[in-house]
Amino acid sequence: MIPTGDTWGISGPTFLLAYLVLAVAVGVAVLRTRRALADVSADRPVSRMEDRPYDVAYLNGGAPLAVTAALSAMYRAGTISTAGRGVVVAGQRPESLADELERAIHHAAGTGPVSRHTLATVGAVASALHRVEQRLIGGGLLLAAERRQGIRLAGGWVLVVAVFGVVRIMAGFANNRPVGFLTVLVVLVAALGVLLVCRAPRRTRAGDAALSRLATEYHSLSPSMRPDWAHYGPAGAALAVGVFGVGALWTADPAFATELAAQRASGSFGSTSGGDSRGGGTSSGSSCGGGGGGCGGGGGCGG
Amino acid sequence: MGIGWRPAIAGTVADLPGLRFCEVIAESLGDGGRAPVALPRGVAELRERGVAVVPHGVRLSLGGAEPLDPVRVTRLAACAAALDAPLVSEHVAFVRAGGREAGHLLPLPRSRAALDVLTSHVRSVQAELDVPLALEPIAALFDWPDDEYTEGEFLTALLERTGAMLLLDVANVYANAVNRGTDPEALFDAIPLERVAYVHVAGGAEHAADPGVYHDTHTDPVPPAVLTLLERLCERLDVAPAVMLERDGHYPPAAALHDELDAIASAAALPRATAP
Repeated sequence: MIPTGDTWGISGPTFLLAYLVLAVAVGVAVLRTRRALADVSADRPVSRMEDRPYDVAYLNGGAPLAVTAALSAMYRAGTISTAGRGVVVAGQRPESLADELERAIHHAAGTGPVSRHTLATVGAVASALHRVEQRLIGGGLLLAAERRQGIRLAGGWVLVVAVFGVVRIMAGFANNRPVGFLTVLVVLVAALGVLLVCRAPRRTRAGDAALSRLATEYHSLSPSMRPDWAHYGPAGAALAVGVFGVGALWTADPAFATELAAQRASGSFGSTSGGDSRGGGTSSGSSCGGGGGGCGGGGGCGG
Repeated sequence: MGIGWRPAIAGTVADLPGLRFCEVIAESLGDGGRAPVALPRGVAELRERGVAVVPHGVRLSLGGAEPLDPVRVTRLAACAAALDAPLVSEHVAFVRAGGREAGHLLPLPRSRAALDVLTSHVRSVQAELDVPLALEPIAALFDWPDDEYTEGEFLTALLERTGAMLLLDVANVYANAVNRGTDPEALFDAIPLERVAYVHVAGGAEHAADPGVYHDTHTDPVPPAVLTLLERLCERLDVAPAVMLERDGHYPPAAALHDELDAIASAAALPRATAP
């Protein structure tokens, strides 16, 4: 009776069903929590984002896209030129009232050719970008680091469910019961948990809405319209890259894009969540190990 | 005042507060004319604002010897319907012969035979349209040797026979006169100006390679002489004409385009497109 009895007094199929219900319930609760956490009210609401195209670019694709947008506008204005392979050099003097980011980039490129990849780390450029980020967070458009941490941690509940499943698998295994179906389910739950713990959106829901409003309103700058940047001028180029990503640069000025060695796909509007490599790396490694440990049941019914 | 709607400058066109009408290349409405008529978002927004949009056909080949392509004719009518257009325009020209596409508008010989073919083609297009058709004489770098009519006689006969309206391009008139060494205003005396539906203005330049030959490029600024000719034309008209700028490439910065639109409005004594 004891060696062949139900593990924990619950039959395999019953446990499997109950576990599925639990996993779905927790999964839904976590997704709702994440959604609620991504809905942030603005401390300092921003109006007319289009007047700050580099804020738009940062909102869309982070610091790299903000730098690309600034370089696109500055190249049009003649305040930078390229030396190929992603290296830029300062050109004409910018106006003193030019955007802080433009002035910082011009200054950084004034001491000698500089790679566009390292620009964002140069002191004045980095602090200009930091102020952009703070404006976006204050405007309720970008999620603060702690808020993203909270969104990721909510996914931990899914991992708890996975661990509970692992315990049942081990108990069932020790009890000589088949654990195959449960194992498959637990692996799926663990994978979902890892995904949720690793990934958090960058933007708030208001941030997504702001970007999609700009994409509608400034549709004339989208790559599909093949906008003429000579006609729209530096500000138009900056906003085009900000709203529509690097694709806008490739369409409007392929020669400059090649010189800049810009990546073709990055920063295109539409991907609402991006993995955070800094925060995600460690937790992803450890919980993947945990998920893998649950495997090992033979064929047959659930636990 | 109006302007030719082109995707590359659509943002600037949309921002013109005093814009009264636009022209859109009919064959551009839906995948180069193969797919069903689809209005680009910018055009649809202009229609919602109450800006009239005229479909401008460039590929019918009204003057071609071979029969009209009924698919193209039906499509032009569908464009007019989709835009709820006040009228439709096409060219007095041919663009293909013997199954070969020329890729641009070619001048017709001004012969009786050509006039007969043109008349019959125009009538069959008119039969499909619910709105008036306006015909635009093109700029030609040469005349055919067997011309039996002057340009004025040919156009007058065509408009009388078909009842079509006239889309008069003052830059074409200027180009033809310069390249033939004639007086551009002379044509105004020879054609029925009361049939003018609207007026095109475009830029052009003398080629560095062949001086003395004026090319109607649509990619250069409008020369002062063309603005003067527009002024002369408008003085002769008993209505305030709808006048529009045609620019097809090498777009100037928005501010320069605004200045050009204002210069045209001033020459035609019309309210500016750049002011509400």
